[in-house]
Amino acid sequence: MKLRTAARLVIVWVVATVATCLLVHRAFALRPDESHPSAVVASVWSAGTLVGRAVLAHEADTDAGIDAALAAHPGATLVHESIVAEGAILARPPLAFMFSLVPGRDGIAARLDGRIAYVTPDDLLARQAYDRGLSLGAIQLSFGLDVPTTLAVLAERLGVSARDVLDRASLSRIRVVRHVPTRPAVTPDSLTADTARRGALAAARYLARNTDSDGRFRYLIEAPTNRRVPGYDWPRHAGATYFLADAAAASGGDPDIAYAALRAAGYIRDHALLRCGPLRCIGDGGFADVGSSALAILAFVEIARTGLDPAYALLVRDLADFLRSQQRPDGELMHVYDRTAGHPIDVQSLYFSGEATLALSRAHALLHDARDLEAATRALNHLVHGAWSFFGSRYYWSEEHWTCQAADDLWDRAPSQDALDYCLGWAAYNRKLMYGPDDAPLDVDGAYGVGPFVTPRLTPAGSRSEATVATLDMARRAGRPQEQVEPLDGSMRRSLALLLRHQFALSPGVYPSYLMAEPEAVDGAVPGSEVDWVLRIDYAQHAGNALLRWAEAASAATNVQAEQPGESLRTKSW
Amino acid sequence: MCAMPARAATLFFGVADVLTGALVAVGVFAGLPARWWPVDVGAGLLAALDVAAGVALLVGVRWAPRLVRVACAVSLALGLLTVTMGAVTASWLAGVYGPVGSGGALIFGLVVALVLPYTVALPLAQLVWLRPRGGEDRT
Repeated sequence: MKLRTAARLVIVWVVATVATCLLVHRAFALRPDESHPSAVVASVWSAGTLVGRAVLAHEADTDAGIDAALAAHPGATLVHESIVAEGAILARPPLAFMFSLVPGRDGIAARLDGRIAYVTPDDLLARQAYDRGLSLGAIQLSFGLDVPTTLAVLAERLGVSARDVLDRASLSRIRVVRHVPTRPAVTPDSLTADTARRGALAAARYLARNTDSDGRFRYLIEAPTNRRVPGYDWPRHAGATYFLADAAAASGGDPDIAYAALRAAGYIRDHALLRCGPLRCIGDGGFADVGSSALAILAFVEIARTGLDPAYALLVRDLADFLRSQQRPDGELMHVYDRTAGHPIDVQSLYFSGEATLALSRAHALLHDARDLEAATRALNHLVHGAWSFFGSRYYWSEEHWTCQAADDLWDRAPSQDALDYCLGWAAYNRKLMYGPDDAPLDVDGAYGVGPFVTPRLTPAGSRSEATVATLDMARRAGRPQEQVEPLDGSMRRSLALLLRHQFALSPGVYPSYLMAEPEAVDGAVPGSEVDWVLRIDYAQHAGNALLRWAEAASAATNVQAEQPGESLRTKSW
Repeated sequence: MCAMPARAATLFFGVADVLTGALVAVGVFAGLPARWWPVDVGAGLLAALDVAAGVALLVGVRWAPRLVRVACAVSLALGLLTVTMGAVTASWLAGVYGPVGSGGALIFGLVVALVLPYTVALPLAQLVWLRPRGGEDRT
């Protein structure tokens, strides 16, 4: 091939590719016009069930069927979804169909034999059909539209088979604007300590309502149906118990929260407390792990410290002995104990070392055993030095949210400037990853995600805020300059406002309560994402804990503006 | 084309082809989290052709230039197809989702930057290098 020929071919290819890209973009982009909707889908929802629907020309129009549905279902909610744009959709291949809708914003119109059927965002949310198309188990994420469910709904409404819809119907994407009362959106600027505290306590009350009489949580719940989903996890049970105990104290002794914390702690004690050689540990079957034991310590410390049941201090002592026995000379912990063989297994799992460090620090604060403080200090030193030191470690940080809480907790007894620098670096890295308001077509300001097309999960916003508020507290106590302190508070406000915008506050008639079968059961819960309404107990735990910590710090900062560097802004009672 | 001596150029392209074949194989079969036959078949074919062409160049067999041309043609076709599909998919996603922010554009740019040198630039350079000059091959 001649050089000139090659150059010409490359130029032709570049021009053809650019032209194709422009054409494709033009064909699939929507141009919403909110002032001139093409139609308005009126829906009557009662306890999460669609009981009436009509397509109107204008929102003010009336329909006899809608009126009848409202009359037949007292308390039902009338929702108008205006179709503000319509565009092409790729029904094949299935992968393209899956990614053809913006979650929570787009629906589908299907035209067949002179009839038209709509699947609106509310229809898809009620069936939890967004972000259910493709599941990557390895990273615990799912993406894309649940196409079979969507086709089934369209088929039912058109009175044909799903195959007919796919083969014969003309499908198009619709952009919808919902007209229904919503609560005022919390913004980073409007966020206050009181708002955050109320959000945290609502999350705690949600967990308390979903703790059974034995102390076992309803671990996973599909919010629209209030159905339980199988699964359970001891570390998350212990983490949720820890948050409940903390929230009970912050609420001034709310009996529902306090009693739920006691039941949940009792459930750990009665069902997961094992023997690991001569020591006691938390686990399941032949193995015990450091993470479950550490989170149980955190829960038990809070229960003993706040006076809910001081007897738990004895279990804290026993479990702290187990954690120390798992520590290596370099400060790292061996995360598993083989109960059958009677020895530790030197493997490391995500989070466990940070959790153990915080647990040992809290155990020392409660029991004043110097061995716990020494072990916590060594573990922290390992985490901020040896455990994260390699070529390029300045540019990449692991998922982490316990180490900085441990460093903050230790600050009044063993302050570490190195740990603070580590946490400031971690926080700066996360600010780079944080989405801004225009980074995706969803409500993402303050969120972390894995790409602009995947609905960001809310849990990272909660868990990373827990660590960021700890870093902020340390930075203030260390007297660090404002240019280090202010970005921490700014990023946290964005994440916490995001969490509060998406936390379920389910007043009758207000979005999204009408999509829930039993809204009172899931009120206060924090969903997995804007469109993933399967609720896991740690979602409420991390978000609630972050909100509570920030509210405490913000209140203290307001009350002690003149406080000197070096003094804690946290409201500790020990 | 550069004035690299024929032997040095043969050595350079031979090593580059072997490394590219290995890179494609490792990238697709060890790096990607799921198996999908269009990608796996294409990558398997490309890796095998690249390694065979590289070895043939290094050993100096008579039919090496012909094999290199075949490998380059396949590589060029698959590379251009990959970049085109990537660009069109990005345009489609931008059409569906609206502005995707700097993160999405950066990720796409990095993917193109990874694919282009090995599957477009290298085969093009070899095809130019192997262009007939006075009826003789360049090895």
